[in-house]
Amino acid sequence: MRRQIDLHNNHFEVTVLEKSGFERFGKKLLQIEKNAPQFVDLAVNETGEGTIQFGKQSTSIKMAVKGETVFIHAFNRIFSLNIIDPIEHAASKVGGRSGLSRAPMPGTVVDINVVEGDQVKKGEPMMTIESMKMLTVIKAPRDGEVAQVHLESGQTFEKNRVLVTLAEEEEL
Amino acid sequence: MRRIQSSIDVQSTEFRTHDRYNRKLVKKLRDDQHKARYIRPDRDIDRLRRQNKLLVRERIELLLDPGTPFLELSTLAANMAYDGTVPGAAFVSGIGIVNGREIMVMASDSSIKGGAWYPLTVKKMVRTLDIAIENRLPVIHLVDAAGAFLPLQSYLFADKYHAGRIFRNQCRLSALGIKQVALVLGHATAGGAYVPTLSDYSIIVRGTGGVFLGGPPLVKAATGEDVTADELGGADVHASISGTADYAVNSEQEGIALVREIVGGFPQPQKAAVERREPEEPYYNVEELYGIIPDDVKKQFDIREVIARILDGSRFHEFKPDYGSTVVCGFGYLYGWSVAVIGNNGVLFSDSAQKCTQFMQICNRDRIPIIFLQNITGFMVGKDYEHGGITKDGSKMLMVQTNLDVPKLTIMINGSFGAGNYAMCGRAYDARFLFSWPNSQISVMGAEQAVKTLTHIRLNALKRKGSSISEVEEKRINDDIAKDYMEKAGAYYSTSQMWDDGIIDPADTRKVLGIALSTALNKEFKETANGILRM
Amino acid sequence: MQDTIIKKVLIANRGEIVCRILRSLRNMGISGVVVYHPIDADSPAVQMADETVEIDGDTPVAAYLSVENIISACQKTGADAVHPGFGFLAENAEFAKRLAEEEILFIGPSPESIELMGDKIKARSFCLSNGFPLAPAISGDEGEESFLDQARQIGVPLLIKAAAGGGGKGMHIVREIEDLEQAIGIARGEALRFFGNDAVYAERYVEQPRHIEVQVLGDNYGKVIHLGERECSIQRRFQKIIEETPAPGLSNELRENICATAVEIAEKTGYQNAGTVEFLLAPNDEFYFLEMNTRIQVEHPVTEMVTGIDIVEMQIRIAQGEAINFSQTDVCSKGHAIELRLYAEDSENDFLPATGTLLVYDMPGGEGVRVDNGFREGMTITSAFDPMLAKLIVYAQDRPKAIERAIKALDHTIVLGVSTNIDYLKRLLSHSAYQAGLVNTGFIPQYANDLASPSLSDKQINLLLAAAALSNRDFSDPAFKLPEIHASIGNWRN
Repeated sequence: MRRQIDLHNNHFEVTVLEKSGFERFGKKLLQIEKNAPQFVDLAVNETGEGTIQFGKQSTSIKMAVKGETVFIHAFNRIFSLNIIDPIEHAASKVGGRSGLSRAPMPGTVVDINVVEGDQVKKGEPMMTIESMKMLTVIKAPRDGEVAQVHLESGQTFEKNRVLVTLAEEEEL
Repeated sequence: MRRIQSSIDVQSTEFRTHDRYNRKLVKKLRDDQHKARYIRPDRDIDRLRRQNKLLVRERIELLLDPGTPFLELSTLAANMAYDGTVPGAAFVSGIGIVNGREIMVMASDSSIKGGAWYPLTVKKMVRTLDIAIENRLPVIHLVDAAGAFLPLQSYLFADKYHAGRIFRNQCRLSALGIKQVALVLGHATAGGAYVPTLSDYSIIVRGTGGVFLGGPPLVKAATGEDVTADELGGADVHASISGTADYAVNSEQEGIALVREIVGGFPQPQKAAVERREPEEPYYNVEELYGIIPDDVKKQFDIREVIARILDGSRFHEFKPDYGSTVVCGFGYLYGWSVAVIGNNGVLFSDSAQKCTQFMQICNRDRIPIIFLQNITGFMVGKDYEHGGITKDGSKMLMVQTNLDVPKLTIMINGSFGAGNYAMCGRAYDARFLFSWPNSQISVMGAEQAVKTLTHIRLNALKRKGSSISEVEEKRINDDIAKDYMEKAGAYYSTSQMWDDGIIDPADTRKVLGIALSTALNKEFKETANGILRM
Repeated sequence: MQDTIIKKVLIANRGEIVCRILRSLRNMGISGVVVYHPIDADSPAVQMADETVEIDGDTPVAAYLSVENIISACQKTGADAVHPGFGFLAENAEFAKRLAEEEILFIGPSPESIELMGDKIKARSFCLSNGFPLAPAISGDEGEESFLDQARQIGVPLLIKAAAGGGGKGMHIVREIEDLEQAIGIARGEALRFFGNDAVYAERYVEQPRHIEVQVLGDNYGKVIHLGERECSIQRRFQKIIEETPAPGLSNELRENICATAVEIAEKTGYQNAGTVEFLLAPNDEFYFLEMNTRIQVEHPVTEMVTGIDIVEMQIRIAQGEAINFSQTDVCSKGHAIELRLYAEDSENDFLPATGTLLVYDMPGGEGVRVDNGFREGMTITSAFDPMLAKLIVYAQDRPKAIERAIKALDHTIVLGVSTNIDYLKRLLSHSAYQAGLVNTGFIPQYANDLASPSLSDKQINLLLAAAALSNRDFSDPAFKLPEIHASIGNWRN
């Protein structure tokens, strides 16, 4: 099983290999990027407290999971890591030509400047949102045509919600 | 279960001579496979990169689960055809794992002639789909083909097992509930358009994928209409307008990730019930096979030494050891599954044929898959043997073998000549998989005999015409006939013609049989009626 | 102390302050009614209440801002007093008046005090005409020439502000007198764009100011005392995140001066109940009135820790007519207290509010640690309200010990499921400048680089990735388990 895991906006390729039967009954090997795989063991109790061991190193942790996000308290700090769905990962890598504008934070739609069919230039304001009394302007990520405005004025949304979609571009 | 006691002397000159010979053959095999798989002219690779395409094996590596094996079939198909310009017949088939599920990959190699379909390409595709049907393997099609190779159309279009059979097999797979996922990463034209359309799930990559019964040039020629491939049958046309495809994706990587997600949702198959125990690696070193197999097809060796380097723990329970000793029958385990092995230790006599027949009946009733290790020059000939009923006994063996319900796996480990090939489950006898060792040979009779006969015929024909042949010329004719005969009897020719599912390194036999057996057990089998045995 | 006349208090607020007020009510034997929007139904505040009334509105915030909701809830439950907490209706003079009409006690100052101090301009001119210290400022009323002249007289650095504005918008600092005219032009333009009114005023800009505030208490009989000052300079997005008392490095003379000024201001307005006077303290020890908050403040606990006085209880007693029966000299402040505001936010991304679920919510405890909390494990944090989760208040003999105790308390504060500023606060408390007491309102931007999240070592990254992978269902789901043969053969090609 292989996935991309996001930690502090850096992506790491993590692969778990099974070495079943024969000598290593049920033990797993974990490979990070293309480094040598190491034996790995996670032992936590029902409150999420325990230890993680990777090769010769280990540390105590407390963790909780919600969907694809793993929250870990370790080294006296708190982290959140996201396991990225492979299709979304592949889709996001189509070099910055994405026409999706996502909410940078949770909030409310205050003002909408475009309608479906409008032609916009890169940087043009499309929508104004408000969060905690701060106004933010959502601008067009590239030249294009507005395909869909997903929310109405006054509607609330969570972080990463798609606000405006630009139409797919012609032949790459 | 007792272990086979090996009596090989790895220090002996014989062992070392054989070892050198076979290692050389294996090295040649690996080099030839590497060339067939990877070496392409720069301009072909550049063309693909410009089109934003990945190479076929790059696609396969992204598709398969990390840390898993990929058993590629018939890598060297067409190696002795079309002047060697179509390695692998421009097609890649193989068994791999996607999200924990065994699947068959069928992928056009568009770095060779744009992935065009040659007659042997069609044969490979039909054979691969037959394997999928017989073993209930889901199929993943990576479609990227220019279409049929027009100059050879008469060899690939009209006959029963020509291109039509590909689509017929796809329809059968569907009716049998065996899933197919197609990812169109290039063009699927004319008949090829049916490959994704007959699949359960069809994905097209925007910009490079296209499905149409007639491509833009054909459309222009037929009706004068000017249209681009994308407008005609691109991803969005079929995913949004015509419904011919189910998904449109922006890149090959996204498409492959989507295929994985789809396959991940398939149910895990139930394996046919066959006895199992804890697996065990062979006791002896499998690479000793190189020293065991002789450098001359006429030389003898003990087949038990081969068996000892395939089965779990080198353990083997030999059945009826003192009777019909020119064939070895017995039970063992392969990666934990109970299996039977039938291997030749000489020519087939009545008693060895009878022993095999009896043994195969036991295996069939007790649900034990059979591995055939072929090293057979034929049945014994001569008056005493005819009078003894050797033909009758051979026919009984053939009757029982053909009607076996348990999965059969065949390896050509040395010579395979005449009726012996048939009795020992040759290609025509529906082995689920059949592989050859690089040193193996296959023909209707041994070369020496055959060449003598053919030379004699040729010389007679010339003499009747009135020519007189000098001794030197006689020798030349003999040598030419021998060369041609030997070429067509070797493993490379056999694999080129798709008479086998690939040449394998003897040391890999255990792994290959293990993967093959695991695949075969995806199909349930029941005891069915047997034919009449002429007593 | 007398018996209470107030029998039932309705708390027109939500979250931790409600729990805080209920605690004091409980101690006094008074019944507490809590109003709540359905989104808060699960909160500890609602669970703790003696009685609850569900309220509604167009948005959750609107529900708590509706005067009608509160009044009808009071009538429904027979509450004889309302505690407005802070925010929402706490400084709404109309609300206070309405309660008076309904003969419900408002636990706070008179509507007149609220009106006076709620209007920034009125408050400023009140202080000006009474001779209280103010940062020199001029409005643009008398024409541009006069404005420029007066600005030059005040001298640089100057802060040009929108008269109708706030929230940090339309503010420009002028450091060179030559830039004055252009800055005024730009500020007018922005004022018009953001607030629809191009009126601006100019104020002396205090470099690296400290925000010092004083807690005052006035009874209904004219007596006003102070309970000491609080240092509130550590702010981000114009919001305080660390408050402490006493303010580090103040001379006794300066401290007494500021506190006495606060008392005078409160006395002059005839202030009743609890309030806070906020000042800007310049590096040269000059201090200027900033504003007065006519309510209890978020950071009141630090004052309570060092004085031992329950401010909420005092509010209730004053509201029901009791006199303050101790003198200024009876108020003594011992030790040092620090309050840390725990926010659901992403400290690495401009402190933007975060949402999520409190999967793990471990709060610290022990000697000298007090937690004013409005949440419990399992609750969801949405963008409907201010993202403050809880307040951690520590108390110790002196400032260094208090800082140490605060850091230890943060070590034992584990919140998983939503981003918080826990790690950020730890780094701030550990910063040498903070420990030396060198605080001012520009602290956070000034030391932004020092306070940034430190990078991880490879070893740490590997362990985190490993833990994440193994706990993720895709990696461990038996549905994707490899068949045994293929797993044991591994990555092989024929």
